Amino acid sequence: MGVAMLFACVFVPCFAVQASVRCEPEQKRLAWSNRPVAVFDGPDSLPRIFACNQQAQIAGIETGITKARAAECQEIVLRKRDPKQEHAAQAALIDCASAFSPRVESTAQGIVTLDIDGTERIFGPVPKLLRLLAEHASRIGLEVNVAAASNPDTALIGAKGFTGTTVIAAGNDANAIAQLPVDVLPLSQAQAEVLDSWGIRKCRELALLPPVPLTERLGQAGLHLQRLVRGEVIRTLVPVDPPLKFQESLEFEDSVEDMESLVFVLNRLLEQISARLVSRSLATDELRLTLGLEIHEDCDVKSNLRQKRSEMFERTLKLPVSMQDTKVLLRLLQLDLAHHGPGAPVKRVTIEARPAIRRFSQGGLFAPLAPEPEKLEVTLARIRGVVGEADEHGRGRVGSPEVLDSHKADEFRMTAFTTEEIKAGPWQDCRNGSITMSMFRPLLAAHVRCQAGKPVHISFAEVSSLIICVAGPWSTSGNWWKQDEAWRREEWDIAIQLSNGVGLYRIFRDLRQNAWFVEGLYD
Amino acid sequence: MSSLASIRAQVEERLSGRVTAPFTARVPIQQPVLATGIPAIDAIMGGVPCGEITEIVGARWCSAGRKRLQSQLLSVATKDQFCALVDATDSFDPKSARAAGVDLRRLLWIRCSGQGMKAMEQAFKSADLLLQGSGGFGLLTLDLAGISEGFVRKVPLSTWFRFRAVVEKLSAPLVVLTPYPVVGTCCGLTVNLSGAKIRWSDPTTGGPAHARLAMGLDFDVQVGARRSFKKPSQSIRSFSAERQWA
Repeated sequence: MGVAMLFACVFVPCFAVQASVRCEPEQKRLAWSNRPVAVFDGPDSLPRIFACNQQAQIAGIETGITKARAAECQEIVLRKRDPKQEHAAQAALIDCASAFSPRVESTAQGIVTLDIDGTERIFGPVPKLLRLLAEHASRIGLEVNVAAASNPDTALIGAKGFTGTTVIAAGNDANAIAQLPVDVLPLSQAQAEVLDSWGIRKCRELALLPPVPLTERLGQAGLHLQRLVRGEVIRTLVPVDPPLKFQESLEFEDSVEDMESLVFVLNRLLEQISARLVSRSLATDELRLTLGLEIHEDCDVKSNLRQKRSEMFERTLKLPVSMQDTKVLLRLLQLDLAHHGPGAPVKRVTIEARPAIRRFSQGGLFAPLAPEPEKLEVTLARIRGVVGEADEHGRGRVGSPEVLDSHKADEFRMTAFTTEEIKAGPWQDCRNGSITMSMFRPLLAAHVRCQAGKPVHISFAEVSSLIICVAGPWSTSGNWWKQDEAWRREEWDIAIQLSNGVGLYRIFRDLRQNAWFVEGLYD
Repeated sequence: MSSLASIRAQVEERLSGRVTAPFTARVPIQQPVLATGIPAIDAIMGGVPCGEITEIVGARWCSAGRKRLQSQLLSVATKDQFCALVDATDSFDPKSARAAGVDLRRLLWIRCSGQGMKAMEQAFKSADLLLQGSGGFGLLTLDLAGISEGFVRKVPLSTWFRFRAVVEKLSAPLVVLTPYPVVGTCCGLTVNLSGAKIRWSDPTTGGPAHARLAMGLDFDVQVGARRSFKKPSQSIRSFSAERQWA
């Protein structure tokens, strides 16, 4: 019977454990996959096990036991619970589901339900869609169970009860989940004890109980449980629309001092962020890296305790074009950290990516030849490492110049160089064959001898010569209303005869300092 | 006539398999060039050859026209392409370049810091990264014009060989501004600039200085060598630069 499936549910078993290890480097995750892993929480004086995986359960670890007792188990991996990681994992799960449907409900921690009605034309039959969902979740570091059914609650019970992907046909809800244990239902402690005392172990047994006596003993909640296992509950999906925040973090057990280890973690975090961005068909144009540092300070030798101080180290990478390639982003972060290292052991890493619309470019016959933006950005980051970030005036050393509307000479700023299609700018009065100047930055201090108010001889750098012709002066001034930025000068154009030619220079006298400078050479 | 035809046929028969067409005139390969837009220079060489190194030589402290030629090339290239300028002495003037027609939004300007050898090292490292890292530029310029001759002479020839090998794979010209010819045999074209003549509004030295203006400059240009052609042109021509208000 071909009946359309309407809802799919994604369930993450041992969510707290999976959220805790998903950002670890691939090798570590593989090594831990067959080992007991437990997450502990609570006060530092008496931490207790909050959650554990199946291997840990087999090894005898239970939730609620103390960390010290759990540590007696050989090969166990103990992780501290981090609510931030759980929040990020849930956000990643929602992003994953959003790649398949616009209507996604964040049902609970580690559970999302999505409306898949009408998605067959895009993703193919339901079993294929469920497989794709599971694969996508695996890419963001979560191993999930997925089930599809005609109502959200049956899909949830199916996802909790069956491993892998499960399709429950409409009208067959009760039969499909009949053999599942009642533990898959949202039971309270009291309800679980009552059902256990009645000898009700499976959903089928609960479904067959007479409704009226059940209601008399367990109330409306008991009737609701029975309707759940019969597949009779119909509820409306409540889609979520969380703010787009792409942030991943990881805290080290022992602080990391070398760059190589840090890069492993950065790569993993960026992979997670990139996968989430891809799910949302987005890219990023700004990366914010926050490193929690562990700084040891000198202390009194008589004191046994060594003082520790934690500080935050932040770097922001502004990208001229939006991108989502992990390799490029990692390379840019590496290059940035190589020149602006944290300078202290790193205890915690957080990366946040600002979402931006993906860049769509279509090659055209008449489009100008341009460098590939991702490659170019890496190249420019390397070049910045060679020539420096900015000059003494704060102007960038790599980029495109933009002339400022000012009477002051040599006023410009540097903007990010992009290869985006350039729209026609404001009209500029330009003329072919216009004279061009070669500037001296910093300005060359000159010694000028004057006669009758006119320069007659000049010495600067390696040059010392009589002035053969002079034009000027032209007085200019500006910013007189600002004490620090005020300028007043007297400009001259001078020609000097050198051994191998003539030089036409722009010189000026700074009237505030009463000093001569050579500004540039007409070349 | 018939004997000539038979001799030709015999020669062709003998050379068949070794020489494809012994009597067919060989058409020289037309190498693409980037026109400078300066008639005096384009008339001699058509422009700067793409995929080769062009060296523009002019004395360091003199007005020789190097920046004028650089701006002219950039203004032509930035009309429809992206360009890169590695500036060893941070001497590029955006204001006058914009006035000369350079589209600054399409120009990647790398401003090296430091002086002398340090600046030159930065310039060569940057140029190397740019050449190796990303193609797609219509013109690459390495400005060493403000570096002293002694430092420029110290650049090993192997550097230029490496640059030539990379540039040959690109479809863009690499233009190097130097105070002294240093690229040597790796250079596809050498342009020697010299002899600026200043045109004053009032040529007499006795007139008032404040009423005088430098109206323009006239430069001499000479093509020193060109690898692509057998006979390098040695004629000296001139081009000029005008004050924008002139």
